Amino acid sequence: MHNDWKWLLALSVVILMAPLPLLAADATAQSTGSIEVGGAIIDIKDDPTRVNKYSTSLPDDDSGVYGKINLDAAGESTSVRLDGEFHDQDSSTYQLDINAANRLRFRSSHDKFNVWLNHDRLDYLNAGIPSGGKAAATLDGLIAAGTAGYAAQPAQNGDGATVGKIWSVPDFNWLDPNNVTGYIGQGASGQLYAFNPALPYYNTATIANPPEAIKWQQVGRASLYGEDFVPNRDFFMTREEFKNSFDIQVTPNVTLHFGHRLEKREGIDQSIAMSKCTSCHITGQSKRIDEETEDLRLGATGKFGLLTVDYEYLNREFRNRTSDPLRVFDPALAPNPRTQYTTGNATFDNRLLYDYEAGAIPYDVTPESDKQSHVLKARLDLSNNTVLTGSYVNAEVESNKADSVGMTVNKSQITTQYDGYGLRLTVRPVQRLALNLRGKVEEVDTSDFSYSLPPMGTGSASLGGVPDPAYYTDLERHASNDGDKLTLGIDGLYRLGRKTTLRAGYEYEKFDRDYEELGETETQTVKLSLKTRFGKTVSARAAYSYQEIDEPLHNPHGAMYVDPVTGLPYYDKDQQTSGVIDGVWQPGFLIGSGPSYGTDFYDLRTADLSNLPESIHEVKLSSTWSPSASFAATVALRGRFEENDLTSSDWQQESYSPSVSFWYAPTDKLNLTFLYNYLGQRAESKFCQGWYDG
Amino acid sequence: MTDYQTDVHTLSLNADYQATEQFGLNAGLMFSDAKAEWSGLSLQTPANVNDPVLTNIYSLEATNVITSYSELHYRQLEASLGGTYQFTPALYVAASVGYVMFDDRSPYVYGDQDGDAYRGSLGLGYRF
Repeated sequence: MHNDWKWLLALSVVILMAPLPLLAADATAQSTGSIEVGGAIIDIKDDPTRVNKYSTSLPDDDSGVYGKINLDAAGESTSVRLDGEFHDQDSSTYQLDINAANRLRFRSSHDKFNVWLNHDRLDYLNAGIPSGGKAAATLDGLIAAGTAGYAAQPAQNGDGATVGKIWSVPDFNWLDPNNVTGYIGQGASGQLYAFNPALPYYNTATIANPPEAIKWQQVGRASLYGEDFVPNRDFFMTREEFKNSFDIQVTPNVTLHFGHRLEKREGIDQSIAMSKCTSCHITGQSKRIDEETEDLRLGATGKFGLLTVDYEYLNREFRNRTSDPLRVFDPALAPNPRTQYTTGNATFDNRLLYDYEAGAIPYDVTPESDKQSHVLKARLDLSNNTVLTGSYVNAEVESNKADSVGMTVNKSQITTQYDGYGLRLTVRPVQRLALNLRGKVEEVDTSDFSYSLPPMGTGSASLGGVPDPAYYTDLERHASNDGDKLTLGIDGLYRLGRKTTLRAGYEYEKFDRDYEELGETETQTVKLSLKTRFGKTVSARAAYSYQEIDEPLHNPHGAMYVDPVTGLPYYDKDQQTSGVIDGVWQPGFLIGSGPSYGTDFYDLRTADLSNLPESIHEVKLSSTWSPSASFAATVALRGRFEENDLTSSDWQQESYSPSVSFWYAPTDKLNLTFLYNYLGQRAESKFCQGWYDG
Repeated sequence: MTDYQTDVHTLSLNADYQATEQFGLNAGLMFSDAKAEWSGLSLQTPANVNDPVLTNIYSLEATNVITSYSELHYRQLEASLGGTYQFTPALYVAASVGYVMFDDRSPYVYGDQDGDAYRGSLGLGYRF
């Protein structure tokens, strides 16, 4: 940081000195400006993350020296404009614009500021099912003093060793979030039972002396635990952008363009991970941010009679300079410290990609990428204010991919190719009317990419049986943006009178996605606006737009499971076991025999969900009243109404934003401004809640 | 169906006053009140669900309290006062003070983000 400050100071001096020879050479040059130096202090009480979120001076409790500079110099053929402000090493900005003899233009800017990032405390994620000890005490009558408790017998295995305790219970009213045994069951006689294994790895299959034939149901031990490993760590990011561009006129009709942009993001951010198939153990730690985006632009503009041609090449590199954070995930099926965790006790190993066995593995990975683009534009200025413009854009983005624990990829890069062809015609058939017709054809294509997600235990018949390789091998990645897009539009501007202008427009867009399951989106847009003046003191503008979107991007199987047998929005095991929904409880499943999330639930969801609207109405109204040179008042209203009415679900959202502002200058020495704005937004939608045990 | 309602009020006042030929003042005041809440969630146990594990341990009705977790309410106040005194047409002194208050009235995920910031600066300038 200290070296950065010296570098920046040296650069600042160079930038300040650079225009001087140019100005000295121009005898007509006149300049105005100011230089200010001083001291600044900031004192922050409590949390700085919101009260000083975007800091352009001092990010935290501190004091220091600041400097400001402003320069505006112009001669007959040369101009220089400079604005700069410098605080500490993480807060500075300047903009420089030099025009020399109208043949060379140099623009340079630098911005650096600090952003405080949020710190999720993860202290609201604690929930769990207690061990069976509390339930055992309740069933034995120890909680309610003087009660005898329910009849019980030791459960033994074939060797006569005790593996747990079985209670005969009249009902399950005692079962609540504080009293949960390992199993509940129903005997052939109709008697209800509860069973607590003596150790976590004993189950009902080990019971050799049941009082009768019992059908058991295992109670899931679902739990959720949030843990912040770095509770006192501040998270922040310093964002820096340095831009330079040169335009050099090499011949009277050809100008070359060079540009360079360097963006850096450095700091420390929170990184959150979750272990699965144990408790849902969510942990937060810190990770370094050290990212760099570098753009290089080369181009040329040539004017050849009626024809103007413009070309630009862009090369962009995104680099992640820091290593990915590491996490040792919890052993699966180990919410209880007494669980005998071994690689042989691999209940979930045919469903998990990694757990404790994998050791420290990277997560929260930021891949590097490259982009190259070519933009070619041609403009033909014909007679009668007729302009024909054509454009071609070719871009290629490569994103790096690599094998990781639990995932193998078939190639090290995903390449996305974009080609766009545009044509625009601007005509003025009569003096009062200007028309703009445009069309664009675009194509996005991502290279074929597949990946495999082999679970830890591909050959083990643990929970749910031996996994089918077809479910985790060579999975094809589909890109929702791949496809062909056609856009056609027409805009018109018509002067109704000296003070009134009418604008109208229509646009049709069709996006044919390569991945047909996501649909083909058609969008039609109509716009209308009127701008006018009433007398000399009142101006007004009214605008309305309507968009109709057919098949917006959506997930066709987003929510709402429907049982294929019963038609109910939940899985009813009564129907599965007795064949009828009779309201009589039938004991459910044990680990290894229950339904699977993927094939038995997720694949059977029927609701098509999207956060994108199918229709949008937007109204904008504004009017300004200026009765005198010292007073102006503006009222404005914006209303937006969005709606989606998909097959299985629908939502709507309304937004209103009225505002009023005044400007008043009672004397030449006093200026007053006032603004009030209200934003009200109401969204109405369905809510789907998953509900299951385990 | 559930509703998510957002209400944001923003008020801003600014003044520039050239008290004398040498002395100019500027002042600003901004206040905003932003509130969001989720309402109308009424989950109910479906008919015929009689599994004691689901009905006794995982109460669907109790899930309705999650709406309270989504309540947000922020109040923010920013006030500033600055002045410039011109010793000569070229030489001036500039000073400013500022205060920012952030009141997190429904802290949750990120903890209590209440904060106050006091700023001050004093500088000497030269116009040319």
